[in-house]
Amino acid sequence: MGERLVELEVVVESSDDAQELGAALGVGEPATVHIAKTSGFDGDVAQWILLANSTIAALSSLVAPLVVLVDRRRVRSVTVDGVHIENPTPQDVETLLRRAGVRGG
Amino acid sequence: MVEPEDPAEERLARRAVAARLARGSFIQSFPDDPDGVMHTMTQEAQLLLGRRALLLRVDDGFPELFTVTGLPVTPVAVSSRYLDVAFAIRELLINEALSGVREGFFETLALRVTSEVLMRQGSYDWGTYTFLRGLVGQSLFVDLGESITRLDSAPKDEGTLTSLFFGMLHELGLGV
Repeated sequence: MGERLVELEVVVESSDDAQELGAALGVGEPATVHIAKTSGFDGDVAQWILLANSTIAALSSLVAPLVVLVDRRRVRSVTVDGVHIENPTPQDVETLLRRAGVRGG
Repeated sequence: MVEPEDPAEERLARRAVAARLARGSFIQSFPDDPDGVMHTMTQEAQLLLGRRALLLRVDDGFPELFTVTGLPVTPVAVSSRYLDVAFAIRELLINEALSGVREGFFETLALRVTSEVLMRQGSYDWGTYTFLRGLVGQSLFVDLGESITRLDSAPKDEGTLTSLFFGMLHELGLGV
């Protein structure tokens, strides 16, 4: 049986934010990462979304950069295994990830 | 050529839409009636795009449409409230019996929708004010209910399809 994967969605303000998180997830551990964007009616990009299916080990490398982005108010929402928080605080993010078994590396 | 359905890709598209939704909104599927208008429009749109598209109904949210691009399957979120408003506008535009009172109806509709958006954004004072502006002293009221149940019984003519689907097709076009 394979290792359990955690489902993560993070909505951020810019492409750079999403790329930064994607890069943190891609370091050496198995993770499937998609970066998508939502568009408003006029076609302007409204939000960037990082979608990942990731092992707990891979997610541990994400905790620190994600908390930094949250602290800089660059994160609109975080969803971990279906639990969704809008405008999260750093404590919210750490609690959500810890609930999924993830600890900061 | 449209790719066959892939449950994992469809789930990814749903997750992307869910991540973008405001608190309290939730995703429903449109009835998968092969003769239904939503099914027909999705099939036609996929053939035109040459790729899979997923039409998702969002309840209890802003009256809006949006798409998420960069995924294997392009989802388009259509709020049921958007359809309610589109139905109301269509009715007001094409029903000649309303021609003498059209302006008043549109004002009431605009105030009603504005009030709802303000409330959802947390501007309860302005939302209440706008709601009352659309209510007090008015003798005209717009029916904004349950358009979903009327979708498949609506006439499949140019007026209906244009008023209901131009926004959805526009969003799909953004995903190309």
